[in-house]
Amino acid sequence: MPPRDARILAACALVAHAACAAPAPADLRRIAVEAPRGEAARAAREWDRLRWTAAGVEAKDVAPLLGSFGDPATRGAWDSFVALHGASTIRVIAAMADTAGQQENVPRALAVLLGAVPARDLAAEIADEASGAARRKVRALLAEVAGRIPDAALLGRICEVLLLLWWYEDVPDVAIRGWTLTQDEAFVRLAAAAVRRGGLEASAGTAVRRLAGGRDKATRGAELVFWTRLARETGAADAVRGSLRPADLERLSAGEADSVADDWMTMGLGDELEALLASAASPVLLYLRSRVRAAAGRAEAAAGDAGAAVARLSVGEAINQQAAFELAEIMERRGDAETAYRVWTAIVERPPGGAVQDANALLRLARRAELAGDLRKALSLCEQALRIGRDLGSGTGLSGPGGSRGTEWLMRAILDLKRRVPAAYPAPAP
Amino acid sequence: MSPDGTIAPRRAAGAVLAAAVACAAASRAADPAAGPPPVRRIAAPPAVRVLVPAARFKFEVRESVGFDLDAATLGALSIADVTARLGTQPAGVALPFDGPGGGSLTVHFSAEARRLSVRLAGGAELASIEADPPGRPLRLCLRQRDQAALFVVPPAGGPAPLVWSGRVDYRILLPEADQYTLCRDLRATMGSRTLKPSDVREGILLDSLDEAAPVRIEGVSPGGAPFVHEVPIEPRALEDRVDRAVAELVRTLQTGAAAPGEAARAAP
Repeated sequence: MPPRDARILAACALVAHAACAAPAPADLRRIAVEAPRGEAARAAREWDRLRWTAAGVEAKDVAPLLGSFGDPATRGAWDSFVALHGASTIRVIAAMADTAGQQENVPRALAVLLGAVPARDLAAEIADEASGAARRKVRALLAEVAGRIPDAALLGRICEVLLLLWWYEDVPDVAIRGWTLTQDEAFVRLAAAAVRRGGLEASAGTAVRRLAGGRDKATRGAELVFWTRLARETGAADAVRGSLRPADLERLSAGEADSVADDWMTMGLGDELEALLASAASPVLLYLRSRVRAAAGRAEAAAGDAGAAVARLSVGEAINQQAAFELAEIMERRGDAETAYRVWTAIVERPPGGAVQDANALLRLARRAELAGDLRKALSLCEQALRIGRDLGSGTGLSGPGGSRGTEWLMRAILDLKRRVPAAYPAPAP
Repeated sequence: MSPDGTIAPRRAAGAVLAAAVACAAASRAADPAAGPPPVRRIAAPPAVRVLVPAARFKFEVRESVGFDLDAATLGALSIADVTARLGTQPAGVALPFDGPGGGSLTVHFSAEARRLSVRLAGGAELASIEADPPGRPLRLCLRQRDQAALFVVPPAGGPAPLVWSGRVDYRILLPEADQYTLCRDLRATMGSRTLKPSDVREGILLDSLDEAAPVRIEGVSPGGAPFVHEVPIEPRALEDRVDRAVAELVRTLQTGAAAPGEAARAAP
């Protein structure tokens, strides 16, 4: 019997014995605290084990240890248990998953374990399981519980454990969940490692085709971006070639379409992308087509598309502010700063005014003025944005340059600029 | 998702598929009559690190080549105008840049022919490099196997004095080496050389890249299934990658100086 098995069973036996003896909690605590020097550590461990009995749970097997898992009176007890038993706690969690009334505690129990134990130790513990059935049970548990853990860091840990155990087929699903929570490229790299190690390169194309087929509309865009990025990361251009139709791109958000287009161009699929965008009508898709054509050396056609993209933003005298703002963000991200500047200026100068997009465009114009050294203008633009923000109310979520939080960026910029402006432009003498 | 590229529509189906894969692996592990496992070729190129002892500065260059350098080597590379690799024959022979008693490699620049010639102890020419000093002494970083040296080439011609020489090692990092962390019974070879499990996981230390050879790794996966992986390593391709990386590192390190151009290749 592996030593960890023996340890767990010993803990169970101890709990069972303690349940019969039923010492009072105060007595247990006194034993732990008042034990002679040298015995204190052992006594503390005993206390940590026996406290489950003190909580009044039945001790037939391991799972009932956690009968009062959600009870505030024993809050922290599970953390102590994990600290004491380390990676072997995964066996207790597996038992919880099989115990009626305990399943809802499994995600939190696993979260504590993942936060306290290195992924390598946990994977080694699972690999040490003597029976393949036990390993498969833990594998299914990890994959299933990942869908109920809303913490990207812990999902990353699960991916690491799955990778270490060569359970490559399960990694992309977990990584996608982490990706949709954070858009963190680390999840693409984790999934890419699984794809490379497992020889699963063809899976990216299959996934894109299925997503384009219309399943799970709510997350389709994010997942499509993920799989496309994964194909790029693993060099699987052939897998995604021909996987999309023009309508699939039209259904994506501006940022998603930009990401997918950029990945296709990086994979050398510019010709296919241009064919997909042949009938593009929206400003964003027209602009993406202009980038494809510029990359192919067709400057005139590219300029025509870029001009058409900007022209499509106009609605009579007014401007479609949301579309304009999204387009300008893509332009800036792709290094087309001058055109982005013109679009931000148009958002500010043309009706309708006083919208959140006006404030966001002002923030970007302010940053540009600051970088150009025109601090007074930058301060003026920030103050205009602040007035719009106040008029719109406290619930307005401003978006700062470079993906920063808009309100925080604005407050910091105003304080900083007010400090710097007098030095740069000293007030005239009275 | 399965190895044939299909994706299970539900997680439960994915778990069933995963279980089936694990069952197959377990049955292979349990049944010795199942025959040897299929050999899987790892197509991804290995990463290379160029190392010197007591390194304090780390650089990552494209094509998965990195450098761990000390101050002296970093200083030499940062002032080099041109880099070149001296290919010596037969493979495995290194000629000293700073050997005792005049038995060293020397570099001589002919201003008329605009050529550098590399000789051993003033004897027959071993290599010839085109050079065009920019009106000032040209700093040439010459590399061979595990050695590197910096020569200063006078624009008017004549012998180029050696101003620095040092030694480097190489560490070959196998692609996706993390996957072997929990594998058991790991046995690996690089050509005829037997590798330790730590070499597989942490990298294979070489004196020179011409010692590199294809790697074969056998063992038992964390799930209990035997496996065989082969990593096709080609020394010449590694040397070319390191050449390009050194040239790029030199370009990156140079600030305020004109780009030295492509790295020269010394003909053997």
